[in-house]
This record gives sequence, structure tokens and C-alpha cells, in this order.
Amino acid sequence: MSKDKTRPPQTHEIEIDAPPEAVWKAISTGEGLTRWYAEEARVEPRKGGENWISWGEGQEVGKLNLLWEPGRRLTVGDANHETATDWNAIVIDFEIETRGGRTVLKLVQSGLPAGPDWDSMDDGTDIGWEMFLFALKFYVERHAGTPRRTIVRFWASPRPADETFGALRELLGIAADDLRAGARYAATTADGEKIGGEIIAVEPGHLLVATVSSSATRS
Amino acid sequence: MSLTVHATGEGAFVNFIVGTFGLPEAQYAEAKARWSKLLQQAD
Repeated sequence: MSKDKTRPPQTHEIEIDAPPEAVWKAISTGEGLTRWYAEEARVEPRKGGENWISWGEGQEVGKLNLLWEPGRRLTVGDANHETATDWNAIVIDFEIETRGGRTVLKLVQSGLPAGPDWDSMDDGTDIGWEMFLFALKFYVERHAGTPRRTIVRFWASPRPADETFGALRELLGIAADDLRAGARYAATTADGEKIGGEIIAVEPGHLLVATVSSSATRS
Repeated sequence: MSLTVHATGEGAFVNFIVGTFGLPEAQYAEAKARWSKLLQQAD
């Protein structure tokens, strides 16, 4: 798709306290991708190789490795991304750098069509990548090598985003004052379960990433 | 636990993911049931 028909790329960066090799493994192998991103994944380790992920039946995404530079850079997209006029035009570029002894993962999403019909997807992928990169950091730093199983729910709410976010915070029982990155929280959910943990990241109205400890699980 | 909310033309869209690491099957099943029950109230 020509550049005048696409919106500006999204750029995300996250610093990860782990060697570049660990981050590369998390983004470039099927096993690694299931620890922070998808439910199932397959990656053929070469340029032009298959890059397939799934969140369940009907939610599979099959792409190719457009660029494959082990340990440094991986670009994923559709073979026809340059001519596509829909979500198949999206290209995801992962780049691993070392800065001051720290590993930095940079993610650039490009190719999303311009126009109001794609605004929601732009917003959704923007906040979604923020969330997934925190999940990647959490996995690599705290649970490297441990299989992950997820409890996933996606749904549409008829209420505005800020109201929806507030209602979920109340459902979880987390006090508004506790919504600070790095804060510890203790809460009682709407079902009466006592939970607690650490707030890892917050963007009020849009994003919450936290550890959760309860009598049933630690996640 | 990861939660995102973004605006749509009709309201908002929510992604809610609880990731568990190394939980035995019985504990995972129990956690899944509890979270599912809680999140049903979000509708």
C-alpha cells in the first residue's frame, strides 16, 4: 500500500533485564511466543519462513518472516503486504539493541491503513503492544523457561473506555490510589476473593498490568 | 494479569489476560473457573 494511504508507524520500546539472546528466543520461537503473546505459535527459523500464531479457532494469523537476523532483528508480515489494503498490510518489526549494558526491544508496527475505519484498530494495537511487551518483560525477567497457561477474555462493552476501565478496577477491588507502577496492592474482588500483588504498569483508563497472588493462583 | 481497554465507535473493547506459570492442572482449572465467574460480572 502506498505511504499516503497508511498511517504513521507505531513505535514501542521496552528495557528488559535479561540477555539479548533470551529476548530473541522469546520473539523468534513458537515456544517463546506462547509465553507472552499467543496461545499457540510456530516459527520457521529463516527469512521467508512461516510465522503463525493463534489465540484459538478463528483467531489464527499466518505471516512470514520478512527479515530474519538472529539475535538482532525480526520483521513479520504478509507476503503481499505492500499491495494489501487491509490488515494484511501491517508489518511488525522487532529490533533488539544493547544500551548501557541493558537490553532494549524496539517494536515498530507499520502499514495500518489510514482513515477513520481503522482508528479503533490503531488504538487497540497501540495499547495492545504496550500490554504484550510488559508481558514479555515479565516472562523473560521472572519466569524464563516456564510454560504459561492463560485465562483469556475479550469482549465489547457498550460503555466508554474510561467507564469500562473504572468498572473493571472496582470489580477487581483495586483502589484508585493503588494504581501506580511499582505499588503493592491488596484487594477484595467483587466475589469476595482476597488478591494482592504488584502494579507493573498503568495507563489510567486504558492499561493495567499487575501480578496477582491469591489462594488459587500466582500469575 | 493484563487488562487493556480502548475506545470503539460503539463503546469500548476489553482484552483481559491472566497468565499463569507452572500451575498444576487442578489449580489452573480452579483459577480459570474463578476468573471466568468474576469476569462474567463485567458484562
